[in-house]
Amino acid sequence: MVYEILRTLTQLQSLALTAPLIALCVVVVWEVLKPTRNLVKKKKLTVNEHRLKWVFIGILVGFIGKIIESAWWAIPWTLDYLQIDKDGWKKIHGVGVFFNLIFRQLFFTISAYCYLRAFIAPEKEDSGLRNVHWIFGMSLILGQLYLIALIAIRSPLE
Amino acid sequence: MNYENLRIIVELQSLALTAPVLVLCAFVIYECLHPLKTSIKGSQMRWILFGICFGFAGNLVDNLYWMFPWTANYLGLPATPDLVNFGVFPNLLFRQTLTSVAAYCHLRAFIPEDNTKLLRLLNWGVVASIVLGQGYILTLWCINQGLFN
Repeated sequence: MVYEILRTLTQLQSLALTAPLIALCVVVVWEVLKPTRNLVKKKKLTVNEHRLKWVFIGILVGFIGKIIESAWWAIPWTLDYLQIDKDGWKKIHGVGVFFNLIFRQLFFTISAYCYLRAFIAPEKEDSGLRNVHWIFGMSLILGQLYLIALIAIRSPLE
Repeated sequence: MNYENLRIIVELQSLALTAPVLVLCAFVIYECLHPLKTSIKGSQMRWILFGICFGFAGNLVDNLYWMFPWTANYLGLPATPDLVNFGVFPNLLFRQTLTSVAAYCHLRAFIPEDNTKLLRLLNWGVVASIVLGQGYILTLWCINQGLFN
């Protein structure tokens, strides 16, 4: 009973926090847009400017993904709380996997890649670039292996 | 290919992408720590680095948690509803709160130290949006209680 009340309160606060989250993210994107554009357009960049360019692109991609993803999830969470149209809610909730994959996982992965480029290999010629791509490539393979393991586990279960 | 098959494939790829997200998050945080320690207090870079650390720490924990209910859901395990229901807690703490803190840090990076007017505007903006959010859930609660009927 206490757990249920606490869960409902937390769910509501999650919804409540969506507004400040989206507002803050929008302002961040707005603030970063112009400096990013300037750095991307600039022909010759110093090493620090390259770093900053990657950081800003990482910020842009990461926060845009957050805005869309948070705005989406406010809908099924609201419907869930209001207990409106259980079947409709399930369908809407089901669509959430698409938003999760693109705006949460994919955008975030790209954002993380940009930050790693900023820290390890801001320029194409940097020796650390191969390390960044190795980390990226190996983790993608790890993920696919995890998937294969799950499929293999599920098949005997069925 | 029908919608349900596509949905399952997307759900699985979401799970698969959790690994690179976790690995990359860990690396980003690791790479941030040293420049953060050596950065000047109150500088733009320090605020950006704090923002990156908070944002990625939150995402790391959030993605790590959701790997369990999504895996349980795919395997059809009985613990799935409990794990999904519990997910509101890591959502609030690690996804919403830490991301908001990260966004705040990023915004602080763009405000010069001596610009108290802009800083006050930011802080008031944050408070106003929190109040707006509370107003939203109060409205939902009233609707749920049938107070608007």
